[in-house]
Amino acid sequence: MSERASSIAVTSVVFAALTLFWTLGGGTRSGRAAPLETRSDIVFMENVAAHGEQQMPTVAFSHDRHTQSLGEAECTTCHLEEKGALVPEFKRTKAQPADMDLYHENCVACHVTTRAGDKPSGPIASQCRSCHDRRPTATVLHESMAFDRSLHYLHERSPLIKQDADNTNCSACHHGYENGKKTEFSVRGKEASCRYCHEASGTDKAPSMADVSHESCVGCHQTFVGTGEDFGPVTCEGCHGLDAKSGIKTVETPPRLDRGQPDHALVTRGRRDLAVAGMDASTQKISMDSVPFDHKLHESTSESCLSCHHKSLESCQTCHTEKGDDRGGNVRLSEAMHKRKSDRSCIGCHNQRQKAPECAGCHAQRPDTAFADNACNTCHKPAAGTGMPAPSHRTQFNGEVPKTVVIDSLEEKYNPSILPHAKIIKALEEKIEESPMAKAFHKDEFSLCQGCHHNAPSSERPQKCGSCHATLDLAGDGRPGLKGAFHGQCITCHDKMNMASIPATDCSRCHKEKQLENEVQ
Amino acid sequence: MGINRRKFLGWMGAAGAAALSPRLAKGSTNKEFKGYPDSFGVLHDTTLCIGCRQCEAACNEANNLPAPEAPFDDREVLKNHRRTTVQAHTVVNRYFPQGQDEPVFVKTQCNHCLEPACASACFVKALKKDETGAVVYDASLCVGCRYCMIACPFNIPAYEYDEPVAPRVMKCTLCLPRIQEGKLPACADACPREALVFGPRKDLIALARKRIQKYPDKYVDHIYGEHEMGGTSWLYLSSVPFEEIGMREDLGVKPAPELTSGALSAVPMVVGLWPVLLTGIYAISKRKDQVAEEDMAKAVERVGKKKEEEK
Amino acid sequence: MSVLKKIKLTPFNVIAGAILLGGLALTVLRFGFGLSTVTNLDNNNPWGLWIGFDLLCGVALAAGGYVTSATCYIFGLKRYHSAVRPAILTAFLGYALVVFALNYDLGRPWRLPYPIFYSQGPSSLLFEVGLCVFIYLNVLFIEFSPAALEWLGLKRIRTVVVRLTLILTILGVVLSTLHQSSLGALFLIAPSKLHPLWYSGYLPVYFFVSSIFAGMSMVIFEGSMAHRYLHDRMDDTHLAESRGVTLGFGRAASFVMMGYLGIKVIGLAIDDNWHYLATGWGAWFLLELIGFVALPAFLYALGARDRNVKLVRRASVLAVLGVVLNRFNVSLVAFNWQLPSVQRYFPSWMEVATSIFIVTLGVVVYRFISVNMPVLHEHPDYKHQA
Repeated sequence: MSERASSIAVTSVVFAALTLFWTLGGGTRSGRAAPLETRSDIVFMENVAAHGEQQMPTVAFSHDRHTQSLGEAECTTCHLEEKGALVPEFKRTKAQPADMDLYHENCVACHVTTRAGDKPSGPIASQCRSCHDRRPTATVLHESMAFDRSLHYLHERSPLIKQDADNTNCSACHHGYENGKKTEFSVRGKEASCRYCHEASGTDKAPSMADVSHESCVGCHQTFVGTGEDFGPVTCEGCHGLDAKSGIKTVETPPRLDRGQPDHALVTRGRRDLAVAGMDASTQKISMDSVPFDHKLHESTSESCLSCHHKSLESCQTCHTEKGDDRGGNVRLSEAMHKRKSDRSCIGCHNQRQKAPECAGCHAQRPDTAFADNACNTCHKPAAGTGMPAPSHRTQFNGEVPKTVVIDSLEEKYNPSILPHAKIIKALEEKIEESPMAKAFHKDEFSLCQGCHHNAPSSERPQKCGSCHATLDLAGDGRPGLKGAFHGQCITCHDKMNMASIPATDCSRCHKEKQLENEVQ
Repeated sequence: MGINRRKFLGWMGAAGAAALSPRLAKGSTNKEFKGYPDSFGVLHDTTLCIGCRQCEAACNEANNLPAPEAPFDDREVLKNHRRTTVQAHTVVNRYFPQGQDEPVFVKTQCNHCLEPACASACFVKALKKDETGAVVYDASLCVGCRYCMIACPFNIPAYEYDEPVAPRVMKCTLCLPRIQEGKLPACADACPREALVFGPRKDLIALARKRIQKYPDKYVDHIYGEHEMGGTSWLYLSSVPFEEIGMREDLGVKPAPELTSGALSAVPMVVGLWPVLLTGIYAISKRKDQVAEEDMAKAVERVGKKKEEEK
Repeated sequence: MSVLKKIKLTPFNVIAGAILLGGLALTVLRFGFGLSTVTNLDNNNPWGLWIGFDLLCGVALAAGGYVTSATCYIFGLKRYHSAVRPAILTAFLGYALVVFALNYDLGRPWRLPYPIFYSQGPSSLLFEVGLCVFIYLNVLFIEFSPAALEWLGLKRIRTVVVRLTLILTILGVVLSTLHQSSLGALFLIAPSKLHPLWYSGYLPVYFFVSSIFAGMSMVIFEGSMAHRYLHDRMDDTHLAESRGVTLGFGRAASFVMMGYLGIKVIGLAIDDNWHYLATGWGAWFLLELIGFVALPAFLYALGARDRNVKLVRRASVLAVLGVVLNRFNVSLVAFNWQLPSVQRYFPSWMEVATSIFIVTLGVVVYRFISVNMPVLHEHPDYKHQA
């Protein structure tokens, strides 16, 4: 009896110990290994046949590694050709179903032959888990490829691309579609973005953007391999890699895309402009003035047409009507222009721009819900029928500004701080001059002053900071006290403008410690 | 500095009045203790903190603590995560939250809970919640059991393990002596950015709400300490989830005394009912023995009689 | 001097003497230079081995006192009578040593009476523990005093004390219920620090119920020790009853342990902590519960059924270790589980040595008392009296 009991006891303890070991051991295995390489050329080969529980892990296939080791060999080593173009699928046409054997036979066969030739090669039939590996072999990162204005221009002017009759090469890429066939696009000025038809995922009408861009762009580049010409990337890394941007040629200031777009437009036709145009303003429900919009200027400051336009490139009002329309997703015109959270709307985009270091010094501290009282007529103003007002310049402040300001109101442990007032203004003015947007929005002669002298009425002699910021207004609106206001203003601005040379924690940079000075003397 | 003397004395008056008003008796009723109505607190806006460690220096001076190894303007110490110790009643730590380039600095010190775990754990009442909001420690009562350190959910109290004769528990006092003099807590006074705002707790909550409302993109919509562990006198604002800046968000909103009140309330019941139950059991077992004895006696008698009859 | 001369140089005496001397040196270190010189305690880990073992295990393992006296005097199971005195002695010594050991851990031990006589903090569970332990220690002293009084020959006082037996026993059970459970309730205040598998609203119940079988197991274990080393001090009644005590307590402990297992599972279910079982912590939890509760419970049942005293005694060792493991887990292993491993606590050798010193002290005193006083045998003058 006792022996039986002892054996039960021993077994149980061993079992418990094993459980513990197994669980703890399992825990450590999931620990992090060395950081993985970042690759943009990983193609996941989804398993073609469902095997339920026995399903092997998906193969992460490195495309660039294969093209590299193939070297001079043709793409047709792996891809079939159909109607003169390469098929993206491996060794089959699109219509052909994927087949496990197709991959196993062809991949392994090639690996075996390359191996015999003493070249670097891939796993063979017996090494299932070398391809079907559950552990990630690389961090997969596909940078999205933006076909920006610069690239568009380069393609527009490239002598390598087939010319149309009118000496442009638009038709090489832009095309129409009729009765199941590609047609030549002949109406100049009506070209739309590719995405007009080719959406993120393929539809009945058109294959996906990814498919066509690989087929057409890479396909075209491919034809120049070995010609010694200057052409675009043919590897995955070339477009989607982390450093792809630096490898692609750019034009600093590409000329406008010529699509017959206006130089300037009235985003909305305001009451006063209607009257000028001889229309009856009383029949319209518009109360605001028009917004004359400098289309040409915005073209040069944005990446591509799609920065503002959706795929159709039509004018905003076409879909975003005053009252909202199905075509515009029921987003009214005013919403489309004023939405803060959108990166397409005027205000949304301008707010984003304000986060740039040269703007953020002043703007980061202003709540983005804050609008100055007269903010509306910065944009809404009568165009007087001409379509666009003459470009106005910033009104410079011509009065006297103090060269330095001594801040001594809190002097206690430290000596007064001497603020280089004029120098700061000059630096800010220079930054504004560099940016057309900043110039447009800082027209008022005092608008610059508002960066620091915020909430104060615009005037030549704004009141002292201490007149509002005495002590932290805890029971009231919570405005900071004088110390908080000074430090908040200076430190936040330096911080946001990336002025690392003035660290916030180095007190003596702005005011010398009193005791310290005595010691020096 | 941030608060003038007159306003301050006003607050003190209010707090005094609160002290005189009778306290709610706490028991197993549905009454709720919501902290002393006019108690003070500090709002720490971590988005403003620049990690200058001026608060640490001021705390060190105000509490007459020994000078640290590295001076307070040495920012190298921020490389390591630190906790409060006997020599440092407050520390500033640096965090790099995910997806953000700029570091976030967080000051740590006693949070002065509205219903402190340490005070409820202390078996000699050496820790008490003062009407001003401060959780104060009386070394003259302390036995040194360190149950307060076990109880503190924020791992704040430190202990003088090196001290053989009269070791003390050390922690932030909310600068109660300074408050009583009409001064601000040393750290709040020293903070150049007003990242530490001292004032009545309810006003601080209102201020924090205002800031969140005004800068909805800047702050997470949560005032840490408003409800954590039943609420704390120190309150925190942050631009990233508090979990990412080393503050536990899984503490719950139950005040510490509630965690043990169930166990404590069982005590009188055990004292009252156990003796009754046990005496009852004793009586039954005694009676059983008696009956068994009587039966035995009867049986013996019967056997005796039978034998006699047989004779 | 004459006492010293009487001490023989047996291996036990030599080793015990060495440990006691070492303990004395550690005592000097502890009180001369502070806790930091002797312990690995720090600000994050204010309680270490001295609380986890000396206090929590000490009190749990001294539960034999109230369990045995309740069995004998309240439940009227007189056949356990011979087990009462040794159990009461162990309990008394156990509690005395707990209080003695506490002096090492407390920062200012001379203030130990403060919570009872000077400044009461009734909102603290530690206050309740302190008060109950203080009163219970006195109760145990009185409960044990007949043995000492018989030894000293003070008959009249002995008679008075013996009359109080029932009241003292009831008081003992009440106080034990309270402080055994309160030791578990101490950790109720730190849900954020104790791993969810060990934290439960039922912690006080767990501690109380486990103290019952801890007490029983200790009585069985001590019985086997006494049998081996103090055989000559045991009279016929003790020797005759000891088998019954072992088997009876074995059966009872098995029963209580099954109940304990049940409420532990209920605790898991109520807090829905099942998913933690799949982690390393879960494995450790299951090891405690299966290896050190379910297994000894099973072995107890097996031993009791087959009247196998040896097996029951072996099971008692496992059960005692199980209770120690549980107290360690709650106070040390699963406490502060979220801290990074470098900040976790592991006792210094001096802490371990101090605990060994205190246990040795207990064994030496137990030996002295049981050799000299009528503990394992009845005093010839008082035979056949209650």
